[in-house]
Amino acid sequence: MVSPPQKADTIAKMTEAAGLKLTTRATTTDVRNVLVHIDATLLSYGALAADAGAVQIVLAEALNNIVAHAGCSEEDLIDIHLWKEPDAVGAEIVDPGRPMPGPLPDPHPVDPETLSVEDLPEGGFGWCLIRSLADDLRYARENGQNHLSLRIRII
Amino acid sequence: MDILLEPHPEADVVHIGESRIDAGCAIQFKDCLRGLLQKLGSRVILNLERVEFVDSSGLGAIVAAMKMLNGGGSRLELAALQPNVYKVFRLTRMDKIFVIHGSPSDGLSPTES
Repeated sequence: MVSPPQKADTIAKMTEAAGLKLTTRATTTDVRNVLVHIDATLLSYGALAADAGAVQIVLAEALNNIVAHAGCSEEDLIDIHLWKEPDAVGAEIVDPGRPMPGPLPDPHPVDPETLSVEDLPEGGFGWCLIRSLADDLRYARENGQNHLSLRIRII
Repeated sequence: MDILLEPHPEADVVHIGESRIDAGCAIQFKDCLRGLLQKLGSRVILNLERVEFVDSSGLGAIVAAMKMLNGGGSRLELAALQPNVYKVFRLTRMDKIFVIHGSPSDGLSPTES
C-alpha cells in the first residue's frame, strides 16, 4: 500500500528542517573527508554545483581555522550542523578549542594589483572568503566550546 | 602528488592531477613546484583542469609558486579553472594577478600573448 502523500511530505519537511548533522575530528584529513561528504550529500539533495561550492568554501575556511588555530588535539571533535533556509544554508560549527582571541576578523580587502609580486599575500584569505559568501556571522563561547554560526547565501 | 611536466617551445605546461589543492596538500604542492624549478622555462602554464577545489591554503600555495618562478625570471599562468576554483580567485581578487587561459592549448596558441 502506498504511504499517504501527506505523511511522506511531512517527513520530507522534517528532514529538511532538521538538516544535516555531522561530527569530524580536528585534523586536516578528517576535515577534508567531511567536506567531500557534505558536498556529495548536498548535490544528492539537488543543490546546484555553485551553491554546494559556496558551502564547501565557507566550511573549509571555518573548519581549517579551527584545526590550525584553536589548539585542538587530534582526538577533539568538531560538530557541524547545516540546515536549509529560504535563500541560504544555515550552519553552526562547535569546537572545544581555545576561545577566539578577539572579534571575528573582518579584513580590509587587499587590491593585489597594487602590489609588487614579492609583496603578494600567501595567506589571510580565509575570512575574506567567509565574509564574501556568508552573512549573520555570530560567535559565542558556551560551556567551554566555541560556537560559530552563519548563513551561506545560495541562488 | 600527481604532477606532470609537459614541455613546449612556447611554454611549459604543468598538469595537476590532484582534485584538490587544499590545507591537506598545500605544502607538498609548493615542494613539488620547487623541485621542478630547474626544469621550467620562462613561461609556465599551470593546468588546473582536474582540480575541483582550492581553498585559501591552496590559493596561497599557487601564489607562492608564482613568486618562486618570478624570482627566477619566469611567469606563471593558469589554465582551465573550474567554476568553483575560479570563484576563490575572483572573491579574493587574486584573479587579477594571473593570466588565466580557458585551456592549456589556448595558452600555447600563437594568437594569445
